[in-house]
Amino acid sequence: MTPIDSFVVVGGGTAGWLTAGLLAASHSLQNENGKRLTVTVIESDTVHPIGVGEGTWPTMRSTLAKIGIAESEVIKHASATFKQASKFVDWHTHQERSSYYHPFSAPQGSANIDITPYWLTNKYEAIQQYAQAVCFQPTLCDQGLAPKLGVNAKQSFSANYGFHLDAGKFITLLRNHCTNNLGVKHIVDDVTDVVTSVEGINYVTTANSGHVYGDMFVDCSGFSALLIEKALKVSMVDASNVLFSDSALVHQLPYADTHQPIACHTLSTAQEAGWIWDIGLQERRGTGYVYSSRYQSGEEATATLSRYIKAIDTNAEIPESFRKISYKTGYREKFWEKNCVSIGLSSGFLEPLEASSLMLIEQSASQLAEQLPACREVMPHVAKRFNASLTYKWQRTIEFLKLHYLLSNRNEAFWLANKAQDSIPERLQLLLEEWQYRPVLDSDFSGIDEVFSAQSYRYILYGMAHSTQVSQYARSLTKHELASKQFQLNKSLIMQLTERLPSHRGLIDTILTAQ
Amino acid sequence: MPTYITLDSKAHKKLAIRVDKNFGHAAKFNLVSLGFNEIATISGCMPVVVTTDDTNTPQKLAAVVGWPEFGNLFCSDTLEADNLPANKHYSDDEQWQGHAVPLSIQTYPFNYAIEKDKLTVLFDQDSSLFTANDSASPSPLFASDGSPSATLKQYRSMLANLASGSAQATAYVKALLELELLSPLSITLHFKNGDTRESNGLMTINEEKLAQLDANTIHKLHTQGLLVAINAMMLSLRQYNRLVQLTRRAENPIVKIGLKTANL
Repeated sequence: MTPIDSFVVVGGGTAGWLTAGLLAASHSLQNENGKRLTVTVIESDTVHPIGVGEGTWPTMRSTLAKIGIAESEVIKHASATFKQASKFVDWHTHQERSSYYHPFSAPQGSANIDITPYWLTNKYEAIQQYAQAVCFQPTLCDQGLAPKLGVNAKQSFSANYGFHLDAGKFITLLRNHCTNNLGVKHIVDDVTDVVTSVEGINYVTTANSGHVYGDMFVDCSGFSALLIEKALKVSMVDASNVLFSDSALVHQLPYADTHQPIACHTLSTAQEAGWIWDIGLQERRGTGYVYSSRYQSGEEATATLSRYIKAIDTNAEIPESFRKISYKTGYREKFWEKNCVSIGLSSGFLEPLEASSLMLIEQSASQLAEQLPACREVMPHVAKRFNASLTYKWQRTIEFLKLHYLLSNRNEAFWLANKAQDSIPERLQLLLEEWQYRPVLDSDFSGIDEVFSAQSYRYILYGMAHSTQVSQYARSLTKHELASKQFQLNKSLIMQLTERLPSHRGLIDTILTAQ
Repeated sequence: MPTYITLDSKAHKKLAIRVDKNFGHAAKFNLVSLGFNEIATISGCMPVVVTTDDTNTPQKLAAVVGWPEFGNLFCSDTLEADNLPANKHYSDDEQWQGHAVPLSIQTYPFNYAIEKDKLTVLFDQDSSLFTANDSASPSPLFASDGSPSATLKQYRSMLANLASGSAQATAYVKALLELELLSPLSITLHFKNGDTRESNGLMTINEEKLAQLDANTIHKLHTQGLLVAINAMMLSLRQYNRLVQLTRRAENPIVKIGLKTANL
């Protein structure tokens, strides 16, 4: 057998260092012959990371735990804050449905009962929006409260949360940890050539550090896709017929007052031809306008983002032009080809509507680390499974993002086009037809490779005021008493939590001053 | 006497508090007023009584925590409350000597005022428990965005419990008086050196009167949740033994105690 003993990661952005960290931390011991897995990251100092991946899922907590980075380190060194939800504003033009939440915490009682269909009967808390009626978390976000009491909140209540972070600082934190504590080798150089054979990649040539050999290569080179595309010729599957955005304008906005309250959710506000993200870090907001250049010119888009920024802070300095990222929505036909795996932007791009980019990096890298082939002979088996699993995840993510658009009643051309039947993946279309008569069921999303649970679909679908006729389904609603109790419990939980939890800024203060 | 002033998120933004696990500010207390909602927890730790009628103060629900000879028996007498270091490590006998602490002691150095159903937080501006928000490990009262910290919210919710408990206690004492269920409690303390002293001025449940109540009244007290409190008060008199036990560390401890309820 030809053992796999060395990994070369090309590219040192978030994808590169997260992958290197997960590989090194999950295989930290020697094998029985005394050999260690070597992980080398080749990072260019001329190419700068895109670094707009600033929102994470709650999965990042276990990813960081696996790598060995404490939460307090991310708060202290990556300007990180807590994220409890996404809030979607103006995705509808009705006044009463002008915003809704997709919180990370599950609805009340979800371990025993799904109270959604009971809410849909309009007998319970019908005046309240779905997320507020079933979950405490939107209220915490509305009031700017933290997801937990303090630093050592293990012993008490904690709402589910991910992070907002400064991508550049996060990369530095990961790099230092990987090289200082996990034995990851670091080469600062440009890759000038990739040498291949039928087996895959033999080695990469660098400008100043010679040839770098490895048993396996990970392409984290971003949009340039040096290995997977330029060397191995794996093409992209285009998804721009489903998700229309192709451009993003990016702007960082310092807080007017350095101690002002920090939003504990990602704010996503719909615009004429897309939507604006707004993420609160410790010292600044990260904002950006994701739009489709087919439906809005660069000039108009710049005006749209400027207006948004001015509305937050009339004194904000607006640059003449914003930093612009152009992209093509889509994913690799194969994520793993021969001895090369692509992770991060080299594997595809999706708009950051549900912070899927870091999530897909975590999922890919964890799966690679877990299923690491022992030798070349079994590599194709692992690759086949990896490709099937990742393709499924990307396709489901695209469908979930599409769901946000197609239920809107906005009437600009961009939004109307999003409702066209031929732009909606068939699986989603059929589910939507069924959901007219029944609630979203857990069993609609029961595969082991699901990325978005039925619960996420519920938060979007009923947040977007999808109408459901439950008259037929009502025959199975036998637990009205239990459901009613859950709605009550949610209310009392909201009362208790708002009386106890500190503000989001307050929790960050506590962590920053803790010894 | 404490000087209570209204807590203000702007004026007192930099204020922080440290925790005194000995509650030394209460070291000289003998009696502590109690809320109705505290009877269940406190009655397992201290005698729960009603103070006698006094022309100046109305009768109140209270917990006995000591006698003038000893001060508050639950406080350690080896610690100077005013000079504790901020991150003091407390040994077992330097901490509060009971499993329950009355809310009015726990909430110190805070207090409350109720105006138009709204609770206002007050604090004792002379208390040594307050420090500027930069010393070793005290908890700030406000976050840098001016919002109340988890610590302040915790005090606030204790004050709200204290306020509602004290209103309920007044109603409870009124009900006991209307049913004539209270009678004076007379206590005889026997000290190690042979001295004895009578202690009067407290009232407890008159068991005979209680036994004579008709079934309807008993049922009514039960449904109002008062019967369980009445029983808890009677049982709590056994906690006098706990107080006697706590005098052991004193030079002239109590060796025996006699309780007598004068049935009117």
